Amino acid sequence: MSTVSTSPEKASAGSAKKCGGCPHLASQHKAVMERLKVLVAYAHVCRHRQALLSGRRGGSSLAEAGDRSRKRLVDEMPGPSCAACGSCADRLHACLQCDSYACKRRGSSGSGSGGSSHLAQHQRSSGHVLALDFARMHVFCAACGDYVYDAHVTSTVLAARTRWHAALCDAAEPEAKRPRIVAAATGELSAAGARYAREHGVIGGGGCAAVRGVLNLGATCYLSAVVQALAHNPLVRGWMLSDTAHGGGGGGCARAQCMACEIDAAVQALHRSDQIRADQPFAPVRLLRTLWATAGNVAGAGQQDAHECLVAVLDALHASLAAEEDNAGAACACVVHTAFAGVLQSAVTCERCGNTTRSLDPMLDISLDIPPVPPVRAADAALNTALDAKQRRGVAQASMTRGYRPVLTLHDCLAHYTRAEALAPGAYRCARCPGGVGSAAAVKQLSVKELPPVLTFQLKRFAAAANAGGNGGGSAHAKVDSFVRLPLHVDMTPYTAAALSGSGAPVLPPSSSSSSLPPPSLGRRSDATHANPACQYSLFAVIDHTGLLDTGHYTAYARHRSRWFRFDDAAVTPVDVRDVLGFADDTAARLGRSAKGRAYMAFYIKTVLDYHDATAPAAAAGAAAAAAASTSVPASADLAMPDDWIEESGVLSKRQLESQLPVEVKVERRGRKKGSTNAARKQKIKEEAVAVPPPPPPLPPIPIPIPSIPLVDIPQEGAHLSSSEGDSDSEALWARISKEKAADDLVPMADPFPTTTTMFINPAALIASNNNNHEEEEGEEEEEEEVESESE
Amino acid sequence: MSNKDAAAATTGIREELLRRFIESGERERLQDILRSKLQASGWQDRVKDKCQKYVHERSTNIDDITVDNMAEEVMPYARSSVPEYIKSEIMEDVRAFIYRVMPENKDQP
Repeated sequence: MSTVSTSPEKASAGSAKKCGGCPHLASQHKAVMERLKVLVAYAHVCRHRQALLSGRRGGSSLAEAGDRSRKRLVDEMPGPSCAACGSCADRLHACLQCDSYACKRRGSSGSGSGGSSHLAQHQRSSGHVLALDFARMHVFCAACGDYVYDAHVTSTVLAARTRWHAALCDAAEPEAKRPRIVAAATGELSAAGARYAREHGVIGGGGCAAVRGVLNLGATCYLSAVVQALAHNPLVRGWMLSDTAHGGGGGGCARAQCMACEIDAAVQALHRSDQIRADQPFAPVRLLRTLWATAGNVAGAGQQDAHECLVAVLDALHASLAAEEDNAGAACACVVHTAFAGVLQSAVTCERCGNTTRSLDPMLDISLDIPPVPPVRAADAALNTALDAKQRRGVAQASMTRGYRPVLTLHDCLAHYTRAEALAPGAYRCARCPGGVGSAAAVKQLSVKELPPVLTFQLKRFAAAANAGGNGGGSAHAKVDSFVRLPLHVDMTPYTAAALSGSGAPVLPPSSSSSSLPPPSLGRRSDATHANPACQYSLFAVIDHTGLLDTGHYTAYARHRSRWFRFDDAAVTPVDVRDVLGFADDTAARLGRSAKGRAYMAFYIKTVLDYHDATAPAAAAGAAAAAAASTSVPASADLAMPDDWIEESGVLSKRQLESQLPVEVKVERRGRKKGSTNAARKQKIKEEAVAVPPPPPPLPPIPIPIPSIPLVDIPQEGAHLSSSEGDSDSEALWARISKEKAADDLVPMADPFPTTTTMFINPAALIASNNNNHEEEEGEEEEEEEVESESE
Repeated sequence: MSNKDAAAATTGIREELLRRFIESGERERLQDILRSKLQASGWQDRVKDKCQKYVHERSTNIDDITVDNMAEEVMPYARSSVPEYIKSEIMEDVRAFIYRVMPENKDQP
């Protein structure tokens, strides 16, 4: 029996049971959903009990009241335990049809899987087939023999997770100003939407490739890499393709050398489908010329540094955008700053009096030194000898990691960056030392105060201070070639200012004189921080550098809809994640062979994307103006990378346009459009609360034919995932089409992050737009749809 | 104490410890720590890659892929490729917890 059988008829029947594949789940849907809602809430509380409890609230009276009720919560609510054996470990599953729990693994006969686990016993004896994995909240169907995917279930789970996200972030970092979560994204494909997508989806030919090479105009591989990294940056891409920013997309801008126009043109060219043939890369001639005009330090015909180029591009972009919005005093709301800008904190503590001075530094990216490779850790060495002894005695304890050298990871570099270092005596004068003047020994520690939505790391591979004056004239500075492993996900909680300063003054690692690195960062605080969900990042682009300093070559890897591609100037090839992360190099490094590290820059984006929308400081109808509203896009399940994020956009109400406000946007969440009744609004709000379904395990619920990327063979798994995103795109398009009658009520706004980032990669829309062949209309309509969502 | 009594006492203590372990949230906390350490060491990426390879191999017969089968297949690799230092660090944390909770039971295995 197929676990996730897809059935368009079922879906398009518009039945209330919009479930995926498990017929057992379908037959009991209502009852199961009721229990599920209760169970999910219970599971969240149980799971995050400690995290929630340890969160400190500001204000003494509030704290006590909060703590008391929370303490009661912890003490009085019992955790679940298995009905058969009473243990609460071992992958508890909660039966969805009665009130019992059972372990999945532990069984009476001792064998783990198969028919003898407690869960199987319960299911045999009671005939119930559905169970919920308590920890991970997946539904298990015994008849199908596997975990099943159901749209309703996952949307409920995700909605609950979103609700708890705010509470957890609060608990982990109570003092942080967190944007108020107003809405979660919706990605449900309604029956009619599926129908439309089926009719208008195209197989083969056409479609949006979004993966297109950039021509090398002569040692401009750095520019190609930077352009690709920017084009696949979801926030930048979304903003650029929204087409309402910056002069309406090509033509509205009056400046001669406008970087925003050029990047806009580049991003659009890379995504446009009607002109793409597989062998036609994009030639960034005008972009290059504008870059040279605006940033003198990267001008010149030779090889430049990709990081310098990126910084120059971002600066020019900011300059050209910020000129339009005269934002005196308010934080800059241009796409560069909203996406990349974070704040670094440098805390210096005087050792004599304990006074800490902190200084904040805005930053667009983090440049990390590469620390020396740590020697074999002591624990490893001891265990290795113990294992050796055991093996000699014949007790086989197969451990593959025996004998592996430690490999530098991004975490090591981050730990090195945020280490507490002792300043040279005499370098620091404490202002508050009672002894008056006299330089004191001081400890300095860097940390990240505010995390930007897009986090960019640069690994400083160039040993001497190369100012990239690239015409090949530099002397052969050494390139630091050590392999640095990049993780797919990064948790920045241990490197934030809150985590590092929470335990008081920065403490020098005990063995600062020894050559070993400080222990892994989570061991810094004695009470380890519960991971703050707002600090989780996923990798989406990498820029590699191979070769020597002056004569090397840049390549970019970027993720497009959960498929990775390698952009080597004009040649684009799909690659495995293994190549991106360099597994081969990783293994070589672990075995002690020399491996050339290639990664130079890495781009990460927040897994749960909560960001501030631009708000006007002086807005006419200032309802939402004061507080920055935000959206929160929940990511998919624990280990999986989110496929895409769909953002909800605000609406610039027509009223405001009439009042001739400047370009500044007043964003009204859940904007009320003219003539919308309360009922419609409520419906819309209800649907907004439905969250994005995560990528289904093997197959998507509805097979929407999706044009294959015209370049090369797509691995099968990727095809599945892409088609699920196609659902949301087509859905978006369909809803848009159906709302055209109300089009004149809404005006698309100039929001930095107006719409879903995937919607422009909408094959159906681009096919439709081929008829008009007008990009502007497409971007505009996409936004309208996003706001309105689907009403029926 | 006779052997049986000792065994029973051990089991009782173990169950009690386990219960306290879970209800105080320590298990969740250590699981989170373990998860991030594994992620940081690249283990998660490697295991995920292994799972993907598994799916690719059986892509012709996708209905036969269940979570349990895949877990069975990938588990030996996953178990054996956990870096040693992570194991020892988590062990220490667990030991510290036990000392905290039941200081008199230092010699429990």
